[in-house]
Amino acid sequence: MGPLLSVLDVRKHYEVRRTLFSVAKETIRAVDGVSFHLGVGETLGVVGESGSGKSTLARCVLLLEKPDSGEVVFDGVNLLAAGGEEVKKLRKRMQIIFQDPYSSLNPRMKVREIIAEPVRFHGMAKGKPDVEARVGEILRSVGLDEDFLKKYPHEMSGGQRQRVAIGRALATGPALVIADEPVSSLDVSIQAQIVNLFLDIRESTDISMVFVSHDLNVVRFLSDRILVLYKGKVVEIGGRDQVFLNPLHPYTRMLIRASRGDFALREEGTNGTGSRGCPYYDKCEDRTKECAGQAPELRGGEDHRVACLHAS
Amino acid sequence: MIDTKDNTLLEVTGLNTSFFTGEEVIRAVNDVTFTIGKGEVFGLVGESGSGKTVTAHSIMRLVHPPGRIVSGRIVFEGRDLLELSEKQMEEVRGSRIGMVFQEPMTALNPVLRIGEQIAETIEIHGVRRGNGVRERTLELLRQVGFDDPEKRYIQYPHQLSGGQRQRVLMAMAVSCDPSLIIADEPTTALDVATESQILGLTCGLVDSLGMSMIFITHDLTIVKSMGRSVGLMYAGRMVERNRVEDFFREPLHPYGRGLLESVYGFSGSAKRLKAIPGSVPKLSELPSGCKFHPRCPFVMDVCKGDEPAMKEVAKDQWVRCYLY
Repeated sequence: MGPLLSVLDVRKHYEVRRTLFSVAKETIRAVDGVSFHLGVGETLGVVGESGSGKSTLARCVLLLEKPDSGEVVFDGVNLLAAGGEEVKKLRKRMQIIFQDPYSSLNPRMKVREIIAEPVRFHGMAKGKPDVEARVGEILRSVGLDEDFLKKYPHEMSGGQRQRVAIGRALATGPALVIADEPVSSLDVSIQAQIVNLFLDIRESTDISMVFVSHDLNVVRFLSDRILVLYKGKVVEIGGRDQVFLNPLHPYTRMLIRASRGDFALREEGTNGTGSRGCPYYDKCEDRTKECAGQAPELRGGEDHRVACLHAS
Repeated sequence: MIDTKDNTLLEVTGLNTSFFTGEEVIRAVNDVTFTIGKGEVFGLVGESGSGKTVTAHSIMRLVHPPGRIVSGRIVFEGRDLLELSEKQMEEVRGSRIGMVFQEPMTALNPVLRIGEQIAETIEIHGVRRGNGVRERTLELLRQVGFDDPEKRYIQYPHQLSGGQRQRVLMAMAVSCDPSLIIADEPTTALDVATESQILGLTCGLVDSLGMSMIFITHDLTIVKSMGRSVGLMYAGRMVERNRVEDFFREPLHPYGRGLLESVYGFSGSAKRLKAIPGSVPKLSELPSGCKFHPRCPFVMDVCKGDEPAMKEVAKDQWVRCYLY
């Protein structure tokens, strides 16, 4: 069986004015030629700092942003070439969970309506009793009891709201769920509850997941494979243990050290390389002259690849 | 002068700070007590709304209406800050206690050059005069890791990156040679690589200048690598004060244990994380007794009655829990 999702050389650039009045425009390469595959039931962790393009990538996969070029192949269909009706049909099977469950839930809807809406829209159940039954079932699967049916988002805590958002995403029985920093806005003591909920979903279904986070500990706990993004480019991709136990890119190594509380003391680089060299040149500890001249290609075997001239 | 132990720089005792909104009284900081020694780095941790920032603002006397410091003592360098006049307090702020805030862009004046802003701080507090001011400013820029201080001197805040702005704030905070720095989540707005650099720089600077620091954060990993002692806050209370090594080896309070397990449980071979059940209570709807009891795995009947007091279980180890 082929992969459920194939992302091939996807690019999304934005043009912005440098200042309010300037004519010259600058190109932000939010996603710059990213490729990966995702198998059925597999979880891919996407890590990187703010501005690395993680969220834009997540949105491109679901066509919430239209990529400038590349292919997004879901279940054998290239979404960028498919017609509107076909995309709508596939949408049912692709869902997204956002970072902030307060702004992603309609404040004027009760939990019952929030979850029933996608159930009805995608025809997952027909008739009131069936819809009610399905809504109750979904709510239980995310660890909430029936008392919550009548609540509005503002009557719930952040963790409970995120459970509702996850329930809404699961309501259509998706094959792919993209979670964009789903625990970062939650209190530390609540994060573990939600991480455990994702773990339950992984174990009890064959949903494929793309889990976007800047928190390496969370990603390591939940993912089968890891993709490290820096300035819109994949700098390292591989199996979870390969990447964590044998990180090949200097940026990945820095992220892992920082997640353990081992802090560096180093002058911030100046933007010296322009667009030709390695994107991590400015901050790299292992940089040499060659790194400024050419951007490294992603290379290595199927289970672990890295974009660094000096990785062996 | 109030008598303090030799090595003590700051002694906060029974601090209560509340916000009076309409008919409600929100008790943001409740009976908070701790001391900081000379040269000590104290990590103040807790989740959002636990009272960390209000504690810091109380020490600086920057609590604005409807908030008010209701009671307590804040003895700093032998004087109770709560008894000083506003004018005396202005001299303490900046020159004796420096503060670094979370959002570096809003803390800097966008239309003043970097050098002028640092120089202004030095002039106001009268540390140097004339040519000495410029020299001192350039020296500070060098100390916070800029290789080209002359160039930075004439730049504006928008020309710097977030990490560079945070360094400028650090330079301003240490410019008058204060004995205490209060840093309130200074790296939360930064990305990982920059955060790591700023934390390294901050540690080195505070250490080499022999200053004490209160480092406020929600990130346990940062406390682990920076602090010497730690204060854990929950629902406006300090529930544990401990040495950093001891806290991370064996935290005293059940909330501390739960936090460590939910953050560091990842590294073990466990299949699931041990999560703390329930959710953080709102300050307006606190439970009776120990504020953590509805979420506590060790809850006893006594926990639901009166709130436990802070108890010293060993030297430098305090906990607010009936288990001890």
